[in-house]
Amino acid sequence: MRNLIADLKGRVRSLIRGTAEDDALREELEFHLEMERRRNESSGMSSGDASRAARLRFGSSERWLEESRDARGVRALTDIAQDLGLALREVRRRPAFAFVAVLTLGLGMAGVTAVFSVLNRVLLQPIPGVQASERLVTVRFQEDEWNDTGLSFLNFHEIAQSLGTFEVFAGYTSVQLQVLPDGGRATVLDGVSIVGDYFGALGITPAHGRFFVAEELGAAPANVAVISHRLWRDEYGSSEISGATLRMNGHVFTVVGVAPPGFHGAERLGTTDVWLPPAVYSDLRHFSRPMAGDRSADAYRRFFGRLAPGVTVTQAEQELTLAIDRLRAAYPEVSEQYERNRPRVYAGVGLAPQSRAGVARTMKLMFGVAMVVLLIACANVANLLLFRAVRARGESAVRRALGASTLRILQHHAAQGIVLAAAGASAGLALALLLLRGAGALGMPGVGQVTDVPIDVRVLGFTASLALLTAILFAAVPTLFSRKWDLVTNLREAARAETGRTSWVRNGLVVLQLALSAALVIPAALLARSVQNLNDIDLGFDPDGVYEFYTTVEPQGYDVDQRVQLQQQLLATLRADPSIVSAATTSSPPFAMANFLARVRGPEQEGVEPVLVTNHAVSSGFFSTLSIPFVDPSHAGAAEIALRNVSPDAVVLSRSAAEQIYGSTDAVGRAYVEEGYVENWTRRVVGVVEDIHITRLREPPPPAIYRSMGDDFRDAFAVLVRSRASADRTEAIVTDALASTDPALPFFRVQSLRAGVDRAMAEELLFARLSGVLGLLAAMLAAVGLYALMGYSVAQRRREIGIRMALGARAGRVVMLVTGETVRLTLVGLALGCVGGWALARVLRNMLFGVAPLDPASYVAAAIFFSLIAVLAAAMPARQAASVQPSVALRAE
Amino acid sequence: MSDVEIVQGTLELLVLKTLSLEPMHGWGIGQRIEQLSRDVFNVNQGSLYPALQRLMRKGWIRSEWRVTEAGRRARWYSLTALGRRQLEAERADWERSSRAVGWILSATLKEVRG
Repeated sequence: MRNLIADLKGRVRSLIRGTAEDDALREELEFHLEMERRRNESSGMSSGDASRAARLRFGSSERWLEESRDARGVRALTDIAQDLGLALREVRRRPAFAFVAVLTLGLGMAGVTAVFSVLNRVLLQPIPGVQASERLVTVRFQEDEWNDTGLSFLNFHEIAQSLGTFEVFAGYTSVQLQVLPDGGRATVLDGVSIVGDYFGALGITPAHGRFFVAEELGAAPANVAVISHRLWRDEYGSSEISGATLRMNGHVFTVVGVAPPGFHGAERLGTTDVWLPPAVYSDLRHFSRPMAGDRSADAYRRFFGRLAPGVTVTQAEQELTLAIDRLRAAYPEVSEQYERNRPRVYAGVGLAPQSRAGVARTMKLMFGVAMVVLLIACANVANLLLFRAVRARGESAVRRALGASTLRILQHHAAQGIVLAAAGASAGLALALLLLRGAGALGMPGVGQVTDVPIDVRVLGFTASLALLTAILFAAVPTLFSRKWDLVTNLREAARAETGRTSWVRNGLVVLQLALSAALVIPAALLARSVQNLNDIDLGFDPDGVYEFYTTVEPQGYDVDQRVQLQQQLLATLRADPSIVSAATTSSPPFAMANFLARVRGPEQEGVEPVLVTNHAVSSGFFSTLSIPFVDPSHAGAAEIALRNVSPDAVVLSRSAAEQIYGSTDAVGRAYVEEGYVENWTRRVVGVVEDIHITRLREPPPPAIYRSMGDDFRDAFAVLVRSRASADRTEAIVTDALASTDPALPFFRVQSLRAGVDRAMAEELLFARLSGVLGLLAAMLAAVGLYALMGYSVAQRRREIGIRMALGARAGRVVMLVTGETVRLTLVGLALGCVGGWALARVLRNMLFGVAPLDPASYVAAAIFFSLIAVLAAAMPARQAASVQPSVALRAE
Repeated sequence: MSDVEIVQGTLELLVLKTLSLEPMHGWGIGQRIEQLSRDVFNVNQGSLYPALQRLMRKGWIRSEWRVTEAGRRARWYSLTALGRRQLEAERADWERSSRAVGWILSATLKEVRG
């Protein structure tokens, strides 16, 4: 061991001293020769003979210098420096090749890096500031993926106290906050009211100030708030926070602390800016039931906790189930609520359970596709490098003859590989940044908008390892082939065909590229057709010319009647404008973010499984604004009147709802029963309308019921206007109408309904577009590969072509000879690609709509596309081949 | 009698031994070895200096520049503590192996057949 250290120190010292050592050696040599000469002279030689004898005895001084240098042990390092220098000089000599190679690599790497960054942000990266996230779990009380319930304040604490499997248990619920800065316009912030030790469970510490203390988390009101780092920076200019206040929903809050930077709630893509203690919840939401004393409220719906060490998810779930059942036994009024909604515990915090599987799957798919593109890019560059290596095989043979070991040659190629890979990775990183910046706003499938995707350490490490792997690949491939070449054969430069083995590899690489890109292009084509089919679906309503905006009376604290009055006033103002054709309000317009459900059945059908319907509150004018026809128009008038009068028990059914409840569309005048958790409500049907699509286009439209606005207790609602004017003018009209009705009402997002519909399709669209782009990219890369192969082949066979033409072959024959290979390769590649594409299409089966994985039109289109590519790729080299003049070709050898 | 070339590994051992007697410059080491071997060994001067470089790299000898009486600069080598230890170890190895070779070379058929 000691020897090893001494050895290393010696090497480093030599490296540092560098050429000084060489000079020292030379001086030592001089001294030695001088001594030897003197000895020779003293034994009788003449001066000239003495010197000559001395030098002779010593041998070649150059070799001695080399060996000494070798012995010093810095050979490896100086060699590397030399190789890198050579590689860079190569780049300068052939910039076109380097440019193509780097661009190809860069594109491949960019795709993979970008996808990985998103994956990192969405799935891997822990929420900023959260500690020890392996023991964090998400808890829901749910019936199925889409229906859940929560806990009231009292129930939460009763359960939380009894839990042994959880170290900490906490919950939260969202609150929309209208913030009124002095003299400024109202803005809306996402807030969260917490219960339990929310911050403690996550393990985060405040950036400034403090979090809530025990008294503030109790039942007594406490007007304190914790704000996000972003809010602190934007609204308070990062100033001292003690004493700062925040005016929200008509109350003044004291800011006590600032969350760590980047933390926006317990959800990975969260947007929370304000955290509030539990007691203010009912103050802020005037129509939620008061906190104290009410056990049946389900105020808090999202829960998470930190498991005690060694506890499994199953154990936690079991304990929660027992706790809930104990609660139900003790308080019969909540028994029904939790009969179907059972506690479920999921590992990890950050992604809503229902999206997790879908997101993971989509991300993996995208990653796979990106890797395939990278593979194609690497195959391309490897091929190009191989061509170059073959062209320079004369040089390699000379190196070998001069004594270069395989290792040395590997080093030489490795330097090239490193330079290329480094350049490619840098280009890829830069491109990925651009890509992310542009694409982030579009939204990711199943995930929604993903902004500020960081390129963090993990991503950089990933890219660096990719670069390393590709560098190794590029080094290994030419080296392996250089072993076969001996000096004589290769110096005798000739346009002879290479050994069969090497052209197998090159051809194989090109076939691989073609197959991979075909395998990508085919599913892309299928997806494109799916999107087209989705686009062609009849929505059931007419979204063009309709605009929607949202507002809420939550900050005003109106009751239902006041709200309805406000809504009617607003509608009257809007309808008065000549540009507005019609207007209406609704609790949830089509393609809104969320839908409410209800269970309904016929009155005599006690015990029959109720029908699950979507549940909308609408004002009069809703159906005409959206151009939804009534099944029997004669009922339209009465229905509109009922809605205008805001009759609480009038309801309009959709066609499928009527058919599923009563078995026919003749339902007007009949009663139906809506089943709630605690009680049932009876309503009267006043009309039946046609079905409309409101969310997923892939499924048939869900049955729906439309009640009057008086039958809805929610504060937030949407307003729909059908306008003849432009988008900007419409927005101005709406703003004015709102202001004149109630200036303090916040509103946001005036957007066209068409945009909302498109956004619902955005996921499909994005994925289809992405695969289309990637498929095209892959095809282009394959084309480049094919072109390069062709060009090389022609160049190699110039002599042969020259001979043939000299012997009388026509240009046409020659072209066919040269392109024959291309055709063969393309066919093989295409065949393999079709198989691969079909396999991929099977995997993507769920994403297809209206097309089968084996849809013949798409495959035919792909075949034509690739034939075109092959023709293009072969055109130039073929022309070159045809224009070879026999005399020139023969002479050149 | 023709001169015998020194095997490389042995050369290092001999250099170490020579330097253990007294520090010396490169040319002097070559002369000393030939002298001590009573001219049996002919030191290949081309391999002497690389050997010295190797020994320096391994930390068994160190070097310093001195000026001779004639006013020329020469590099003098001396043994380090590590080198001294190495010398002892290699010398023990050498004695063991040469003894073994001697046994084999003097073996008679009777010893083998028993």
